[in-house]
Amino acid sequence: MLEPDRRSPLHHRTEISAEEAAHLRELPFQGKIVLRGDAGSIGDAAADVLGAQLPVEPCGSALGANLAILWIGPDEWWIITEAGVERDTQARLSVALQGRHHQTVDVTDYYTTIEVAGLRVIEMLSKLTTLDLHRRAFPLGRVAGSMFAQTQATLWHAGSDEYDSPSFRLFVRWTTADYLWCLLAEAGREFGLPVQEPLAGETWRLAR
Amino acid sequence: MSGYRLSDGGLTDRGTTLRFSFDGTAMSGHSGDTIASALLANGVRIVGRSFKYHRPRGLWGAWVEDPNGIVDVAWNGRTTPNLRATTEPLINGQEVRSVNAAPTAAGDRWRKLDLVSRFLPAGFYYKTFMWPRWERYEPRIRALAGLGRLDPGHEPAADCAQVNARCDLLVVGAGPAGLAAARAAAARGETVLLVDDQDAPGGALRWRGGTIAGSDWRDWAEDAVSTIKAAGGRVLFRTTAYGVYDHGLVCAWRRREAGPDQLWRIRPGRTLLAAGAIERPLTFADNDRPGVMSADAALRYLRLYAVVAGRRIAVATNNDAAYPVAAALAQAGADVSVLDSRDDSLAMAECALAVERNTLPSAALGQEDLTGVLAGDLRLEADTLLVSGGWTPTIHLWRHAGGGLRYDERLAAFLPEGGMPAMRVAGAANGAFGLAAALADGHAAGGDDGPAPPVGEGHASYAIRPAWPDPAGSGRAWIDQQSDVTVKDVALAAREGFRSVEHLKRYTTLGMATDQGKTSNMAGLAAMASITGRAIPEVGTTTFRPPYVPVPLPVIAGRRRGQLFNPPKRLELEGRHREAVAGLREYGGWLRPSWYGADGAAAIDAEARAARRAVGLLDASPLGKIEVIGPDAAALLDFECYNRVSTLKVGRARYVLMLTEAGIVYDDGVVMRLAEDRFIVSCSSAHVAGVRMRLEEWRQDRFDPARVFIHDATAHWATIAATGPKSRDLLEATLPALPRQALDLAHMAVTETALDDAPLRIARVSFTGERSYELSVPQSAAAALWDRLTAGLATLGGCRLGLEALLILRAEKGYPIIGKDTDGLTMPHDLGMTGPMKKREDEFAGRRALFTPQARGADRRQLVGLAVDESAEPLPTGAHGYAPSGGRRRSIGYVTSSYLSPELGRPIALALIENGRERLGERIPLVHLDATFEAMVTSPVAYDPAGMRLDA
Repeated sequence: MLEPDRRSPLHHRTEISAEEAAHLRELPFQGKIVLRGDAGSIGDAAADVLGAQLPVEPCGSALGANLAILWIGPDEWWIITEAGVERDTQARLSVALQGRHHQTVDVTDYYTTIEVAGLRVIEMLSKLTTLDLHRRAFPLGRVAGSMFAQTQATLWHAGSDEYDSPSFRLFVRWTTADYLWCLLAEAGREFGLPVQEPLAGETWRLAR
Repeated sequence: MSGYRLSDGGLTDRGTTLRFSFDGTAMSGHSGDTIASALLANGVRIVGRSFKYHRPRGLWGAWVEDPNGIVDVAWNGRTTPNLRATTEPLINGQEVRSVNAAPTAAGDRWRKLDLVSRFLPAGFYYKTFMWPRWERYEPRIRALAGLGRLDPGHEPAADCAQVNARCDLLVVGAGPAGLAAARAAAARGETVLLVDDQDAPGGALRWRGGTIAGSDWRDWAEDAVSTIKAAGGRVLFRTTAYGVYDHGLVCAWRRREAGPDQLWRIRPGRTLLAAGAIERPLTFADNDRPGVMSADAALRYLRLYAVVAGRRIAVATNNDAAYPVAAALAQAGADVSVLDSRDDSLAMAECALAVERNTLPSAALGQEDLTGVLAGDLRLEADTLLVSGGWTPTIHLWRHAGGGLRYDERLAAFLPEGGMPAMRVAGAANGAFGLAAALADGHAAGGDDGPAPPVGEGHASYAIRPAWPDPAGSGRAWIDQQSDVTVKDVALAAREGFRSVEHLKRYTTLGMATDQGKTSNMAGLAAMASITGRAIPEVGTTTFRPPYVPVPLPVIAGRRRGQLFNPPKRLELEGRHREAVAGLREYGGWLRPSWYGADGAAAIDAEARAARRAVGLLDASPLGKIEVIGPDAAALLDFECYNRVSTLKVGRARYVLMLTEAGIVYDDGVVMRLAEDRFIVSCSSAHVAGVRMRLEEWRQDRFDPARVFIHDATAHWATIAATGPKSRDLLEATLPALPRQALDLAHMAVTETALDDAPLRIARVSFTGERSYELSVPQSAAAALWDRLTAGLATLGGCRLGLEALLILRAEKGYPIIGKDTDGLTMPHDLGMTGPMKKREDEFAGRRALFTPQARGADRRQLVGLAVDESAEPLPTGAHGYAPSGGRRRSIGYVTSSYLSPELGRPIALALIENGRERLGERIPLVHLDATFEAMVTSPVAYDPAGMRLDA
């Protein structure tokens, strides 16, 4: 009964676009599983479930069966799945890895995914992060966590958009997703993205 | 006489006429003018008054070096104070006002102040207005000076973007050296970012001209820019690199014709500084008269704006660079004569004008305006005196980066010394004066070992005879025009013992004005050297600090304003809380409901009562949920926690403290054991990041990282707490599918179940002292759960519970909030938790510190309650308890929390009081600001001391 009412953190926002220059949308409920363990110990068993070997190159990623595996640290990966299958994926991983030391944590609702793409996407993102996004430094498939303005997020160079411009996915915490959404829109304003007013309304003083 | 514009020439757009006013007088200029060039073209001589003596001041420079052209500019209904006339573009409709002057610069009512200047030496104000208090005089003295006036209505838009950029090579300065370097590096395939504060490439070539590689310099510069872009690089004009920071970060302020300014944070592989050099003044009596100007600036006004500085012009120099200026002005129709301190030079020999050799000015003549020049016995009629005292390399960014300096006697200048892998200096900034030398230096710095582009003839080498200030000279000779510092002030500083150049600066304010001494620092330290009989390098320079030029604060602030200033973490249920008229405040970084309803005080009271009598529903989502898993998980938590965790049974929870290595209470929380090797650390919401970091640190430093993993999943889960005697009834009524055993859970027990397919974790943990259930579901299911629970509240007489009521409820029970009811000295036994330190024999974080003599002392501040009369007001939080000590009050601790308890009908308070537990029943005096109070020391637990209500 709870499921039909499921809400994503940016459910109050809709896709915004400046044509080929930049576009921005939430990909709600993408499954996100944290997998931790020693690649040598869990790698093969995990690959059987995921359809791809765990990437061991720092900041790399791999594409598996309808899912992606992002390298987050030497013993940490994120499994990004389609919406709704994360618990099944987690369960199958747990079975396959039984007896090998590992950890899986479902963080699907910890983060949401913002897709940001377009001709000017690198200029936009460089207003928010110090990561070097030049194609030499951040090629297709690259993953890195960093600060985006005042919130932490993980950036994945996931592919290209319909205009053949770079397309990135940003994994941001539920709690600061709206802040980052508004800042991304602001960064793209000079390229034609509409202003997105931040949620407002703190009362700072106790009325007594 | 004064400046005028030629009928043709220059780079301004003569087809566009821009109207503006100066001190109320209507004037006009062209698109492409700066405010300064337009003022000069309109014949304005006095552009402002000096800061201290209100002496008339004219333009000295033509760019960032100018000390005098400071103006307030009103445009579009807003006034921006203290803009620099020499760098500010002229815009149609600007109302320009001089500063330090009223009503106008020329007719300033304080212009006679200079007559009493002998009574106003350096440090005058601080020496004179000491008695009885400086603050009594300060407003009036400030009104007399103080530069521009702020416009209180001017709140600039927070629309300046901040751009992070990277490149292989950053080149600062697009003059010949910078262009040559950038071109050479780009030709080798490097990604170059070239920045320059002017609006076109060329640097001094723009007004000095030249032939490079066989054709006009413009062709070569254009080719260089194309080469940079072809290699993937960028060229930014109107962009000032103003500071170098840690790890080679260079910050640049970019002005744009369309759109707001930007701050560029550039992280280059290497930086090449090719910022050129700034012309020095000459020091002689009354050298601050309007009409005395930098020779280079005069050439710049002529070539860029076709403005001639005067009609009868004397040029005084000690080097060759002023000769092309003299020739150009003569060609433009001015009557030009030259004074040179030297006996002979190449440029002098080629000069067609009359040259007075071995001569420099000894005084400027005239009162409000220059009328002539005195040079020993020689007296020259002149309306304008152009001076060149040599060149000071612009090595600011090199110094920001920590580069060394050496003094070069031949060039009479400080030059970069030694090397830094991340930065090089080239061109005039590196002492490579003259076009050929600058090009060669830049070319090599760009990494090209081959020959530099050849230059045309007529570029003589730089020959200078130093002309430093003469302390024995007569009259008042200015060193720092903007701060009004003369040679005599430097001598006074030396006499009073301020001989260090850093002391000289602070005592006289030399170099402390908005121009940061670009033209005055060298003369000041040379004067100090001469007065104290030391060599110039022995005196040294003051510290160079960013920014190189004044940078508008909105550029630095960027978008960090309003809602985007410091984003609080948002609750999934925020919309639901707003619908219920919640007052929202920030608690530990989260925006949370303080209470529900329009009347805060009444709501808090009602909510606290309802939780004690029926049930309160709290959004506790920010509570920490750090998962710790693995064979060593229990051992890690044993070490991290003051209380032993490994003895916890599966399905149970335990209240724990976590200590720093110094034994100080860092945080508290509840640890739940979900499986033999799986725990959840539910720490307090404000400390999640810190606790996670500590766990990770111990995991990596003390344990086998492969045998325990940690992951913070706090915001994956929403947590809703139902607390109160009817909390069980609420769950039973609204969640009928909930298994029986979940409702029957014992206090401090935990279970995992599911609700309509969503995972649900239930824990019996209480922060109010009442029977409580914490229900955690993934965020996306939170709204549905909240809606079902709130629907059952009314029937049971329950309500939503805000944070303020919760704070009262927990204080009634004496539950401390770490960081509020504890401070940086509080140890667990100060809170009465002595069990683990007595019983545990294994190691845990902070253990050793608990057994030092200090930790065992009898004067420790312990958590106690304070009781006052039932009818009294609650004690002020922060009030100090005290003991009389020799006629004074000695603090024995302070009130940490204080409320009016709705349930008890009397004030309650928690306090950290010295040796508090020994004082139970004792009445102590307290003081807050000027008021005193009395209170009785009690147990911190004011309500239900036996804990009977947890299972009520």
